[in-house]
Amino acid sequence: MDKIPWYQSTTLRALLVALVSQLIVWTGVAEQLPDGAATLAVDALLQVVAIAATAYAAWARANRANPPITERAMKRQAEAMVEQSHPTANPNQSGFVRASMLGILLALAVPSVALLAGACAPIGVQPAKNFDQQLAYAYSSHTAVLDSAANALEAGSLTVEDAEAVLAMADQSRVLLDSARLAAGAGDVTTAEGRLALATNVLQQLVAYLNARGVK
Amino acid sequence: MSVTAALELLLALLARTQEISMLIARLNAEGRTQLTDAEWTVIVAADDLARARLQALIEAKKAAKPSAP
Repeated sequence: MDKIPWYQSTTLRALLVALVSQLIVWTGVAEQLPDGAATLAVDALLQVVAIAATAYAAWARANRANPPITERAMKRQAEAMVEQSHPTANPNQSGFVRASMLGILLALAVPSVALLAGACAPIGVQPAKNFDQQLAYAYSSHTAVLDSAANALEAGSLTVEDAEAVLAMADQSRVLLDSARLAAGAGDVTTAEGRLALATNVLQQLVAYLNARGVK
Repeated sequence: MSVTAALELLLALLARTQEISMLIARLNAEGRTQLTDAEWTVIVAADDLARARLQALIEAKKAAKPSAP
């Protein structure tokens, strides 16, 4: 496949839009607006644009032709094609992401979103300032896992048996989340924090399970 | 886990995280730190809805499977 200039790449154009939107958020342009509601609305709009552009870039990378952009990529692609036709015991990935590595990253991402949202401020995510807000992030991780499992089942990349196992583990996690919320409401912070840690641990196991089952 | 499945999970995580992030931004703008019961109801309802969708899909797939003679 012939090389193309970077500006003809759908993926790079979408990522550029996401990057510019995020940079505008970081520079705090919206905070110069006199009205607080307008600031929030502009920030929210820019973040939605950044997420939509990132999602589109991922979709384009998965579904459209991906011609190389640099000489280096062309060379790597040629090497990868040779490797595919002559597989070795320890194949070189030639720049392609290893699915298992991405799975490990996601297994780390789920509890990070739930517990360490405070570390996400530099990427435009509001940090959780208290337990209530940490718990809200944990519920959102739980919902995301259920959404993904449903999408995978719908697409035929997850078996019914595996989906049932995911649902059972997700239910365990949800019981712990509900229990953490009840304990926090009753003022028992220690129990609430313990339940939240257990819930995120179950979510982590769930992602590891999907990884081990080789969802494809 | 395939790259597509992993990306899908990552995007779902980002989308859901962004929803909560926007809610927390609103809390900060209003000078609040705790979520109201109504806000919790919305979060829990979204989770219930996702669970119901997965459950319905499992049942639909099971029903579509040809039964053994």
